[in-house]
Amino acid sequence: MNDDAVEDRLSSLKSGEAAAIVSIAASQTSAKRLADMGFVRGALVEMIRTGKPCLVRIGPTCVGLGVDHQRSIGVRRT
Amino acid sequence: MPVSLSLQTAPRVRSVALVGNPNTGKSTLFNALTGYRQRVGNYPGTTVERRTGFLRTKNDAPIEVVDLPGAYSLAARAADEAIVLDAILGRGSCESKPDLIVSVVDAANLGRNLFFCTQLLEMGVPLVVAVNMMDLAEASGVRIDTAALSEELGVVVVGVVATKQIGIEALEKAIIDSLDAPCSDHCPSFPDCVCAELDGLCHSLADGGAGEHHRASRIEAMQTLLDPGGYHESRLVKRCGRGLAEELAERRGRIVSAGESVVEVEARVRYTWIDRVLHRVVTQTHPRRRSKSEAADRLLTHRVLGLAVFVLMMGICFQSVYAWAVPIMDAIDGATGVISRFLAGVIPEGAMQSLVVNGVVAGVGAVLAFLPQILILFLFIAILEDCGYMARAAFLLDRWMGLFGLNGKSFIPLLSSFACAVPGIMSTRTIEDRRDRFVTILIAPLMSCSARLPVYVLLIGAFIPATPLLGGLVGLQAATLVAMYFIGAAVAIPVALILKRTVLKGPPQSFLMELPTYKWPSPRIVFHRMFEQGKAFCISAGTLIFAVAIVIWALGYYPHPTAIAQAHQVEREAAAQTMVTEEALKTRLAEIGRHEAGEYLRQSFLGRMGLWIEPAVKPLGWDWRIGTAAIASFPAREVVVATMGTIYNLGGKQDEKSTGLRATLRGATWPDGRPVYNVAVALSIMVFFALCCQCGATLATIKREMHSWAWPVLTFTYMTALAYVAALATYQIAIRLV
Repeated sequence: MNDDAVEDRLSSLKSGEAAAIVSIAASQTSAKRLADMGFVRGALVEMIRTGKPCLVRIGPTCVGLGVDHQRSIGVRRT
Repeated sequence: MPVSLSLQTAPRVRSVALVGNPNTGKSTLFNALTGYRQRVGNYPGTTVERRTGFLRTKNDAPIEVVDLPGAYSLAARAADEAIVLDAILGRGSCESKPDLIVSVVDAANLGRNLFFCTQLLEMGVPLVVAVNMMDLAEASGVRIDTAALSEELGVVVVGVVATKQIGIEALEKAIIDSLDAPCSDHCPSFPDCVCAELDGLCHSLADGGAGEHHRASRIEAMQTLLDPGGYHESRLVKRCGRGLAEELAERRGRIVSAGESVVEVEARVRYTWIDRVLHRVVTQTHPRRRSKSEAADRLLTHRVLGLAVFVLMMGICFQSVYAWAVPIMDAIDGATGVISRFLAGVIPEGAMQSLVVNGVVAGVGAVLAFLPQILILFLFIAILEDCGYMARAAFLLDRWMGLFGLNGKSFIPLLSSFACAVPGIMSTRTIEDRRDRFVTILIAPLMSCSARLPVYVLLIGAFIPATPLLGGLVGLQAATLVAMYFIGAAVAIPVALILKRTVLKGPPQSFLMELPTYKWPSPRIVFHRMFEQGKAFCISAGTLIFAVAIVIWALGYYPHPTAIAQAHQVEREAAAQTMVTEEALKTRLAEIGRHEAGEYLRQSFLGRMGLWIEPAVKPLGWDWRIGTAAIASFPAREVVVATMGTIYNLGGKQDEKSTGLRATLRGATWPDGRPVYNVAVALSIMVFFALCCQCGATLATIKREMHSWAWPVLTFTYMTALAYVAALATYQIAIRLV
């Protein structure tokens, strides 16, 4: 990920940090499920509790995300 | 786009479906709309609950309301979402399409909820949008202009607070007014390359094998095209053949070469459209504050403290199941004794008296005594489910579920299975991955359900001393109970891992789950669930257990040869001659009576069968009566208690003053006079029942959910083998230690 210095994995956010989703690199099934739950490019997420799984807020909803999902979501800190 | 036709001449019941994301308060809204006139059934061929009721209209024709399970989108990832889809498309197990859809959205989470709503707009069915929980949204500073939203969506939008009955009348009026309204044509527009492929696909589906009855709508075509490997694709390919799969691949290829992402385009287009709508419709009156729910989650989702709270709650639950229920249980035991003594006095001695007293009252009464425990357990589970805590438990235990090769989502069905495996197995429908779902179903019966409680409570009460542990905080009895609950869960780990590596091989699925806002549990829902379960238990006690008790009684009573009576009569006369004191004669006669009863039982059909199986159960420390009771309890575990009640009553009580089964068991002996029961035997029986699958209802549910008899057969076989081996090991080890 070094070629794109501003893009981080969701898993790298610290508690309380917010970021915008810039990419989702998951299997088609996972990507579709994430998209249905609101994880699309441009959406804002806030890390509430880091870990495996982590807790993020997307819009007003809290969602628990397993480690694979956290790694598949690319974000840019706001 | 097909428009719903509701022009039949014959008057018919119009139907309205409530559709929306999970946790949008659909069920509360359903209650508000239909009042108490509801019916709970199942979708044909499934265990998915179908709740229907009627709208409280003044004088018009009745309008039926159907409450559907929650879903996030039309993509139908999980089994319950597929039901939603079949219901709104009026296909599969659902005979007719609804005349109108009420799209229920959460005011506090309008953006995500509108995603599904925009899909529903394109279904070709009249739509009304109910924006629920307006009060909570306002409290968090979100104001929604429903009139503007109505303009944007092209349908009637009503703001409601279902819990406070606000806006219900307006919603009813909107439903009645919109029943024959034209469908909205407001919907997001897709890029040209997607539209072109969609048109083409619709065309070939109409010409091809989809059949006239299954004319795929445009929205269905979209879900097929844009969800590779999804529910719609596999369904249509099964119907139309491999040619469709190739066609889809070609069309997707063209979308990709036009620079679009097949899986992302729908979400992107819809969310862009929604963002524009929200911009006009929603105003933030004051900055978002941290809600109480989030504050609670700081503790409850904490990796250490949250887990500690969870363990504490479970501890309280089990301790109270044991502590609160015992007095009630003793009262029921006492009442059973009074009833049987009364009946024994009324009915003349003979087969009829034996049938009623020893068969029915002893059998059914022994099981009914456990109703309080079951109600308390269901109360706990229902409260946890209804307040939103279950999702937190799933989140906290995701890591631990990794031990099973599963993710946290499987935890909820497994926890429910501690109350009863049947609803537990049914709740696996929310697990998207088929293999994970199947593994969860197959290990759910290992969780120690409430039907095992009678066995544990009976044996623990009779044979485990009430030694205080940890300075009196927990008793040894409660600790033994907890240990029994642990055994099933512990054994489930290797079983799940083996299944995940063999028959249901698949990669682990990453956790993805919404944590809904906490709410106070609704007493109505909680007590309803407790009541339903209590009713089911009593019905089974009144039918199945009643029948088994009678069969066991008959097998244990007949042939009742007169030779035995004659032989004992001779002995009685001899005793009367030889015994000098009144006291000695009385003792001798009681002894002869017991021997006579025992002799009858040994010579009965049941006794002969029992002696035949005794070699198989003797290594477990069981006598033939326990073995027979275990086999007779095949339809339901709790029957074992009833069967033992019947068998021991037939065999003659050791202590005439005591009525309880516990005391009877303590006095049971082998022919040589050694007591049958000791701690090792009690443990061996408990371990057997902890691990066996003596439950017809569970096996039938597994068949319905997995659509093949092979799975229940597998479940029964592996669990019975496991139970036998574990009980054998328990007895052989315990007898050497204790």
